[in-house]
Amino acid sequence: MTFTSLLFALFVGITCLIYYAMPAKKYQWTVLLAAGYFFYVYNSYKYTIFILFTTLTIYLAARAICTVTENTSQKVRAMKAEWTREEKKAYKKQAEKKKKGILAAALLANFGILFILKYLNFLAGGLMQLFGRGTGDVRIISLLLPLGISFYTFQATGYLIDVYRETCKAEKNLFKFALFVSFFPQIVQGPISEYEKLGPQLTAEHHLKWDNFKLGMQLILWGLFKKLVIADRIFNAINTVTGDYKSYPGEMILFAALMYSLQLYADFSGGIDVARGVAQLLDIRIELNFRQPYFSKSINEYWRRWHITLGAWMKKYVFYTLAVSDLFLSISKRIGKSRFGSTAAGKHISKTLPTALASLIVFILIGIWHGANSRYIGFGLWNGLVIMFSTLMMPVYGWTLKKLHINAESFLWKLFQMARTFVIVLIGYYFDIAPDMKGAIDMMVRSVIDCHMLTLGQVRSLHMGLTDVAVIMYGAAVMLYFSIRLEQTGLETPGDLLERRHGLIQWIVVLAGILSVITLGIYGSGTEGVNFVYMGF
Amino acid sequence: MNKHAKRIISIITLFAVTALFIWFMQITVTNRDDNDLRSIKSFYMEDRDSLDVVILGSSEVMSGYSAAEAYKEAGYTSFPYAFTINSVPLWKYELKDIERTQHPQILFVETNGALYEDDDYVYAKNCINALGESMPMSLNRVRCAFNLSEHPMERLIPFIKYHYKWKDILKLRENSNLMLMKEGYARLRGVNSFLYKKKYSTAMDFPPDDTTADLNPKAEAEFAEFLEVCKDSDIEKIVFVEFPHVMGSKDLYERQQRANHAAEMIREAGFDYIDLTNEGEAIGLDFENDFYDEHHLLATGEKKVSHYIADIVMNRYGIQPKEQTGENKAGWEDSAELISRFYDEYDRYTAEHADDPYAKAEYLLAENVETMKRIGQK
Repeated sequence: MTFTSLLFALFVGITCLIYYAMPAKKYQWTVLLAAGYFFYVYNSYKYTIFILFTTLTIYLAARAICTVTENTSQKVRAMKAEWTREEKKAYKKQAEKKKKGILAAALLANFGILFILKYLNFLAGGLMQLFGRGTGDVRIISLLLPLGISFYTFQATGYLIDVYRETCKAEKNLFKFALFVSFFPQIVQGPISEYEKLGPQLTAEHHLKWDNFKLGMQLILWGLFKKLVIADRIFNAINTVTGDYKSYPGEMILFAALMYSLQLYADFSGGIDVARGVAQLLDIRIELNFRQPYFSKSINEYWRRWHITLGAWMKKYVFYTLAVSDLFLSISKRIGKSRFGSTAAGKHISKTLPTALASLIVFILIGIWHGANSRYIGFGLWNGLVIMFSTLMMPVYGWTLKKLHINAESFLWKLFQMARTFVIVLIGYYFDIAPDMKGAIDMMVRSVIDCHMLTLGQVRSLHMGLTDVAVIMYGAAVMLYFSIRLEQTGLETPGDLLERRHGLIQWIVVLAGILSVITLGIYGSGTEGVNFVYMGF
Repeated sequence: MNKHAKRIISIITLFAVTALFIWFMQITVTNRDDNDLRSIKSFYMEDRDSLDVVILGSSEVMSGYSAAEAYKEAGYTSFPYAFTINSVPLWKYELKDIERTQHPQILFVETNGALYEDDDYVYAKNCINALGESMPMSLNRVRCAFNLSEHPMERLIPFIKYHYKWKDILKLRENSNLMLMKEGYARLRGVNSFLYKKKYSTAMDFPPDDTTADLNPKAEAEFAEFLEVCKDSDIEKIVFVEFPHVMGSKDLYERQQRANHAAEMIREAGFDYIDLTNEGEAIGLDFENDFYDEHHLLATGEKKVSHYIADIVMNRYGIQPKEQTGENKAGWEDSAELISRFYDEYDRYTAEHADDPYAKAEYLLAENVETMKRIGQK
């Protein structure tokens, strides 16, 4: 039951009907819980045990941490008069140790499962290859990945860390917490939500509102347009080249990479739009995950606009932890105290090195999060190194701009920055489409040294007729138009843009959208549709 | 007008325009130069309760019985509810639709569809699709789609499957769906004549006998179920019939053994069974020259079998043809005249090309609607 199936539409329709018809609004959330588990069991029934395990362990760990926190403050309050400051400190330290132990155990158990299911084969294969005992293709366990495991594990562990940090209270009701983990619109491919933002919404009372219905449906339509009209139409052409890239000249590989940049964005953001649209039908707002990422003027900015919630998770739970860790701060101090540290460059490096190093590690982790393959490590390493380098070299950029008399606010310079950022992103995509890291580098080299003018005949040899080319151009033009308008207005969705127009224009645009999707979309057994790319993560 | 009314109107019009668009596009994209689809769709274009006889069957019936010729010969109206590999699991749904739309005095059921050996034929996807996509919408069609098809929604709304052919909108003038709708009925009444002979063994080397062989187990179960459905049918007379075949190979002989087994089941259930292969002489069939291949008749054989069935209908079962009036009668007269011209043309053509027995008389192929129209205008 994928987001693009009729069955999913029926499922959403029935869920909405029961949800709003529920007489006892206090228990409305139970409809979402039942729907979430129905959706999960229907799609991944063999692996339901894993989501149950995560729900139960994180719930219990959060409750235990909360209990320790409450007991500690109660005890300290009660013993305020009797205990010395040192005794209070010692007691608190002991409690902190206990909480850390619980947190570590829960994180270890959940990331352990993720590691075993996702990375064990890869690691074992890598080790075997390292010691010359095989090709690297080892299957210690042969399980498919449970649906959405990377997403719900991150979401649930984020909540646990928040409880540990006392920025959020532990949920008392197991079933309400189970709903937070299994909320069906976002279980497949995110976004990764924070409990503080999503949890209270899920269990609040909701009433059907026209604006939610209209904007939710429009967002779903927009998501389906991107996925069915654009992304799925390009998929086969990309696969043809990447499946046997050595048989194709550089220009075809470059073309495939460019098409992949369009396909991946249309696919992933399309899926997220459907998820957000369905949530909005239920009067629930979930996080924005994309904000016109290809308009970014630096790679840092790109990662604040692309897969926003994963970046935010990494920043909140990994980046800050690393950047202010004793190890990183001591490195920074050492540089600062050295002779080099007294120079202008040394001062800058000693100040920015902890964040630069933390960024590198975060991006390696983001790469690994995507999957167990050297190409994903390459992807993370590439992005991390570019960000690290740009952070450390920041003063040099400023100096160069000044020397060359470049107006940083001019349109042309901004355009150049966008193009430069896109090239950096595109290089990263080579790691995505290649079979492995070596293949990615080989593809990049071919794209440069064996690149000629691309002909229409070459494009057509990739099972792309003139109609396909025309439809993709139409889809891309529509997407570009809305992206520019959203960028200019700061609004979130095409629906928000339409709201400002006359009712008749809204009606015509929505009708054009529906007709485009049902006519030009790739669906049904007569065409080859594909699953959402991020479903595999 | 308040905002609620405006909203409701805008949603309803949005749905209506989308539904209209899908309906129109469905006619466009499901257009195929396909005899099976056209044959099924043509059946439903007949006036309600206007047919005296219906023959349910597979390609043997399409190429072996001309309803227009039978009308010309005996004055009753009939139609072949037939298409390629119309296998037994589909029959109960077809029977329901025949009951729902026509109430014929006699229903002939041609048994070929119960005799397939392979599961792939018994549950042939293409044929399930052809039926599912061509029946008018009804609960029966929904049941058929959900019970037999892997993609039931595509059977109910074929646009889902064929939407990628949207460019066909540029070929509206050649759209046979629209042509049929414009005509109002199929002038050749569902017949699909074969006009040239394929190479096959014309000798009756394996003459039929009374020995039997088991049916495919799934086909047998479906057939037994169908016989039970027939017992409860509103149609007064249901007769099972086996269309003629050339017994030129062992495969055909074994097929005939399965037909004998089916015949036993039919008689046990209390229905009549007629094997036209055994009655070849009475029909006047020339097994060397009246067949397209071992299974299908040529136009000459089709004419003879049509006359023979007309004789059975009128004389053995003594039906009283319903009185046809107005446009419907004029339509049948038109069909009778057309089929006469068609057979004359065929005779003239084959006589002219006697030295080239395998010549493909493509300009005459009845499956081509353009040709049908051209012959009609002569």
